[in-house]
Amino acid sequence: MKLLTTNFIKCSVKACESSNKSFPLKYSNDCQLELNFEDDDEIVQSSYEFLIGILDKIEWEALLKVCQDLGNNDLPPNKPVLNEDVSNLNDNEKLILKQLFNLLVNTEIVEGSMSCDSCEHIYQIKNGIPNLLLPPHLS
Amino acid sequence: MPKYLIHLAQCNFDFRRPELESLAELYNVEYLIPNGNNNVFTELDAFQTAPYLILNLENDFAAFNLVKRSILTMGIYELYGSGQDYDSIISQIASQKTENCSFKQFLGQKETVLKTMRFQLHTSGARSKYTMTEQIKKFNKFEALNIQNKISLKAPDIIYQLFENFDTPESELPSKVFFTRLVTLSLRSKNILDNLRLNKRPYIGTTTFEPELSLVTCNLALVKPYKLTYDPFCGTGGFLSTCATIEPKSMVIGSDLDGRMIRGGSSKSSTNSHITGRKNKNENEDLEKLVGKLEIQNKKVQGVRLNFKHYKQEEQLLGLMTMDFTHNSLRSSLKIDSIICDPPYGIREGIKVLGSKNGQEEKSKYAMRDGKLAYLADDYVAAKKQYSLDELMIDILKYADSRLPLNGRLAFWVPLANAKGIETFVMKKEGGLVLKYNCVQEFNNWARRLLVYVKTE
Repeated sequence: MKLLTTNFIKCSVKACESSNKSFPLKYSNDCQLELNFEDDDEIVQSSYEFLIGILDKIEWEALLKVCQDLGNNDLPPNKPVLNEDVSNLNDNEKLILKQLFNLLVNTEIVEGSMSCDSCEHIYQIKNGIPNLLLPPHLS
Repeated sequence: MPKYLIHLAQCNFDFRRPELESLAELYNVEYLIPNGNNNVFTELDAFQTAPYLILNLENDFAAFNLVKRSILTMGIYELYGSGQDYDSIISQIASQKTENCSFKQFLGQKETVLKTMRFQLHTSGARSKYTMTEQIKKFNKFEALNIQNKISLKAPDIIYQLFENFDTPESELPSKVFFTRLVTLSLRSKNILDNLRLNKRPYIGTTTFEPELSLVTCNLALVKPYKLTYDPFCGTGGFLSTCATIEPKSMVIGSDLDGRMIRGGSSKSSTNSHITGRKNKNENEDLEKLVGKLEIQNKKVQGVRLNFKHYKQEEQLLGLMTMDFTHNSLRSSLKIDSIICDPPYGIREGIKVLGSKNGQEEKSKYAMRDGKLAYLADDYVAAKKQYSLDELMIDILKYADSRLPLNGRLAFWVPLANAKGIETFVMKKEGGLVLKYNCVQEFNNWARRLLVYVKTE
């Protein structure tokens, strides 16, 4: 799963719905990460507008927490605010977008697990696909 | 307002009007006729198999937007004249004053003079085509209109298109002819169906949806650039791929109860074995090579992701997960703009959700295996129980009602009747969702319908 996906999923257990501890899930530090493709500036450049669109959907606090779980503490504390007009990006903004691309789209969690802070159920990630199914006593 | 002619595809008639209406809405093309309940597409209902639709639109830009993403049309043309034959059109145009004649106005524009042009001819119905000499004879008649543009056969700026409508294949003469200028071709004419053909797709399953109507489904669901479309029953990801293709800036997310379908390697799906199994192997050799290359570069790419890699749409796929739709994990603050799906009907695939029959809950909670709780094991398979289509439909509607923004759309397929022949119950309204379209696709021994709901409040 893309690192981006961690920003969309919460615990499946219905009782956890109202708990603010069920999002984001807690990622174990033995998660295996992989880069999707080699560093390719062309792909990054063609995705500027797209990334700004994605950034709009991100909950920054949750992203910070997941990155910490996975051992990355370098993110700025606040969501970067970017120029919507892609033709007018300055070098700094381009760098931010490239880093975001590498983090959100390019980084893949291949194997590992995640757990809910509220009910403590553990979900597995296998072959890059998170498994959010529940055993009968939780469903 | 200028007149336009839409050249329609001769298939899936039930879906043609909903598609054009949806695209008009998506691109803010004015299509309502003032002082009445009719709109410019109403005529499509009266004459369902018509090859052409003639309508008034504001300008070329509106016409371009209306048709550029459509699947059930061939293209849109500005209509300059129609009649029994070309001579009557030409004399009609010649006698008109410039202010009443859109063709003369077009010729009179400064930019027009320098452009190159070409004539083309299309005959409707099963009638055989004309020879080149016969066609040129027809084109030459238009000399009388004093068109000054240079001819370019390879890359003309302007294409003048003649249409001849034959009522039956046996007809000697066309019942009507049209003189038009091309505004834009549709995605259909630009080969989108061929690119998405199932036998050219690296990863498919037994129930992968055909490209044509799955693209139409995307149009009816108003998928938009930079907006999120979700398929809760994505299976082998057919809808996700078509959605990402029809709108190259759209974002998609998919989930399915059966993780094997998403990951690949299930008995009901296949990765390019359908390619090697085909008789005419030559055609697909390139694809085989390509799939091989994708696999070498990224050892583990399989399943739905392989298609996204193949179509170079990787960044559009925001997430894939194994998940039960009725135990949804997408955070409720995530904005989902369109929901499209082809849920299991219980005809080709059984309907299941998480859960078990009575008494299993306690068992699963404490069952041990290899000294660990069994449900925490890597390879634990969650218990599933049978579910009914009616329950599932209500769940889908309730979910869409809670997640879609105002005017957001839900489009999903249901069978006309279940295996016992009992007709599927169609809800007209659920919460803020209102049924907008209900189109039927017929097969030999069964039929299914596409239901489109709009969030109205």
